Amino acid sequence: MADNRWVHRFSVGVACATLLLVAAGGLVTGTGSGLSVPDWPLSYGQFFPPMVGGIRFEHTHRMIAGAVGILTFFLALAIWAREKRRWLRWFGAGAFAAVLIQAILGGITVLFFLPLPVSVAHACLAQSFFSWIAAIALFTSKSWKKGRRTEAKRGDLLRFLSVAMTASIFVQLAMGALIRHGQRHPLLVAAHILTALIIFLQALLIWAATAREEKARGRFFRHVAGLAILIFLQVSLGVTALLARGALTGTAHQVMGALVLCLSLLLTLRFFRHLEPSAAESKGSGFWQLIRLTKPRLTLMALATTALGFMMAAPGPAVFEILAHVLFGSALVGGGANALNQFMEKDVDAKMKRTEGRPLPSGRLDEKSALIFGAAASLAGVGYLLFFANPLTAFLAFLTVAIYVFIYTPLKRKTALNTFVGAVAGALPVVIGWAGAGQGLDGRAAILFSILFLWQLPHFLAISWVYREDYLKSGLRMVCLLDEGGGWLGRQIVFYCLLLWAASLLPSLVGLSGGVYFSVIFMSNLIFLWLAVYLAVQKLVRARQFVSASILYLLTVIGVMMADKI
Amino acid sequence: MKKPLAVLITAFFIQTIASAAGITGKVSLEGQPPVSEAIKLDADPNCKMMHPDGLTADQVLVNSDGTLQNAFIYVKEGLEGKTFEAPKEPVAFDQKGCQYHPKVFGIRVNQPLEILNSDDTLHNVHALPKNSKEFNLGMPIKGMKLKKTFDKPEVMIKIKCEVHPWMAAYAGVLDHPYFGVSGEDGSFQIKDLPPGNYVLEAWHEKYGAQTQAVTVAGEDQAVEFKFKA
Repeated sequence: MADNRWVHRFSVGVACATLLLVAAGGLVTGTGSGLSVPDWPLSYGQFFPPMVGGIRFEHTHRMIAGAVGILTFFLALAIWAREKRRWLRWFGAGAFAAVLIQAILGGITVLFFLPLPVSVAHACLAQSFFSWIAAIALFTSKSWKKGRRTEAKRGDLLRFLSVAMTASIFVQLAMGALIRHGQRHPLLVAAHILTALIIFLQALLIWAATAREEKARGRFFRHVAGLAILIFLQVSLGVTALLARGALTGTAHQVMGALVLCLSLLLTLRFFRHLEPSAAESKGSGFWQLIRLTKPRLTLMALATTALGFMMAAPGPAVFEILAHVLFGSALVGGGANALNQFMEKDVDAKMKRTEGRPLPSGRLDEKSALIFGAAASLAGVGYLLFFANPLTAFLAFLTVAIYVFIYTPLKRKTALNTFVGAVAGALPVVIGWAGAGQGLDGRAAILFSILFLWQLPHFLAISWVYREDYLKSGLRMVCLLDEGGGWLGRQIVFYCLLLWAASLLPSLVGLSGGVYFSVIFMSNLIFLWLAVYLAVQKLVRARQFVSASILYLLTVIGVMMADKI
Repeated sequence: MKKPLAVLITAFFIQTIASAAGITGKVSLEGQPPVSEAIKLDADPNCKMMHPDGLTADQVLVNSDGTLQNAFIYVKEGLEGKTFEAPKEPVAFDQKGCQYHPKVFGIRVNQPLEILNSDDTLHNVHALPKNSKEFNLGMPIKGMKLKKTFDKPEVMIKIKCEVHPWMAAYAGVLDHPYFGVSGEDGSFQIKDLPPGNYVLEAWHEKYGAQTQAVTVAGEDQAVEFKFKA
């Protein structure tokens, strides 16, 4: 055990060195010394050039980077040798891989005269790497290993908020890196400022929610308060950097950004490890019950695919005003459809553990309001799309509601084939987005539809397996109930993943996406397929993890496809 | 077939006879020039040693009579369709005393640029063209020479040194020989310009560019550019 404590201390040390490295890298950008040493990996053909002018910054950065690289190598080695947790061993090895990639990105940036995407990637990976090492320090800490949980009424809310905040901070860092590398477009700066305010608000919300937790308060308050104060300082530094534009303020802003990302990530991890969301959740006002009725996470995911469809169809730079209209209308339709679905399934939901806490079966919301809300939102959404987008979009949205509410929902009680009907409804949002761009439908929209359709089959089959016990009680006819041991379902999942592999490469073959998309998705699919095979071999033991992986996969597809398009 | 050839030959003679003409001009600055800021030479002790009394940025160099140095003047329009062979002799470009000499210059497409490091310190020479290929080269040793060319016209290409951030030079790359730089008396000369109508442009690092139409007939034409501070 004593050895493992040594690993923890070592990782804290590497994290500190990394922060120093982030600062040194920031000074290189801040002083414009990035190209003062034209060659790489040597400096003017030497290991140690005279430290004059800009070389002082660039070469110091290289030296610290080399040291951090070596330290990370030994850290990964120590973890590999001493650590019993397999995933953590790989996490350590991943850190070393990251530092190597980072070095290569740094080299490319020098040899190709600071190409913007590479410089920004180098900056983002730097900040992520710091958080990575800090996460290792957390995972090797005593309190993490003990894993004692504290009860929290707002546990789910805190977890959700912390994930949202960490994601916002990461996006914020990417924007910051763009601005720092010369992209001072007013819209970008405005978005950066707006996101700063959102992050600050998220921190305050977390603070307020933590402060009201009687048991968890003591354990998390320092972390939460520290983070909120740091974010406030960071905003002030940002304003200073914006007005003064000095090398030092810019670098301070960037180092503080790395710290904020790190603390936010650690808080998120701790919330997931150490909070025990108590069963007696706070009732929440009627408004929140209505929001819950829309299945916000599902709706958000569908909206992401709608945005994807829109971006892919837009011929030039997407018109954000129209996109906003399409997304708003779709949100109404999607939320409304989910509310109607829950209205129709109140009896079934009440029988299942997973769903008994929903607003209707738990009695926090009455049926009539749910029905009125669901119908009104769906209709309003279709109407909104008709006025602010185009008739085709409105029709497709209407079709989605009709299939989801009037075919899929009743069909769940009749036949196991409902999953396929549900997948049609779930794949339509991307087509809605496509139509929203005003281009009319063609084969390319069908390709996007098929990717989303095929993705849902393994995803929902795995989910249904996770909740198999629940479904047995509910009386719904789910595919998972056709199988006893999981072998047959596993083969199904592998089969659909194979089809998905083929479908997801099509966009590059018809010119909808480029080579970047093709290579990234080819690899992602390989991993995803491997996970599916692993899942099948193990007879679906790890279905829950597979579900998370499938969400990550879809987000990758959406992200890469959009990035490739831009 | 024969007629155009005859016209061409005649035109050639007319041009040769009348080609003694050129442009002489002056560039001046109206208003108060900005104060030239002192450079922080501490960053490189070698540079500090070469300038014990310090060095100023000298982005704007104004002579006592109000004329402006380091403006680049060239024929922007009027030479379309004509081709000129690039000279083989290189343009000398020196890094001396942690400054570029010359600071502003013209060079022809594909004409070699001979870069020299006369300093007892190291420089990186980083050219940032948009049309030609970018380069960034290390020159760690005193007396080291490098040859580079630009293969597309471009006015102006910035050349800088990231070791010494105050070092900046500008090259005007042209596919014809009709250009000049205003010197220590603010004057410039463009020689042997064939008669015709031209548009001249004057460019300055700080004050941007301005154009002027000029007609060149048999004799030297005087032109004046005025920048406003």
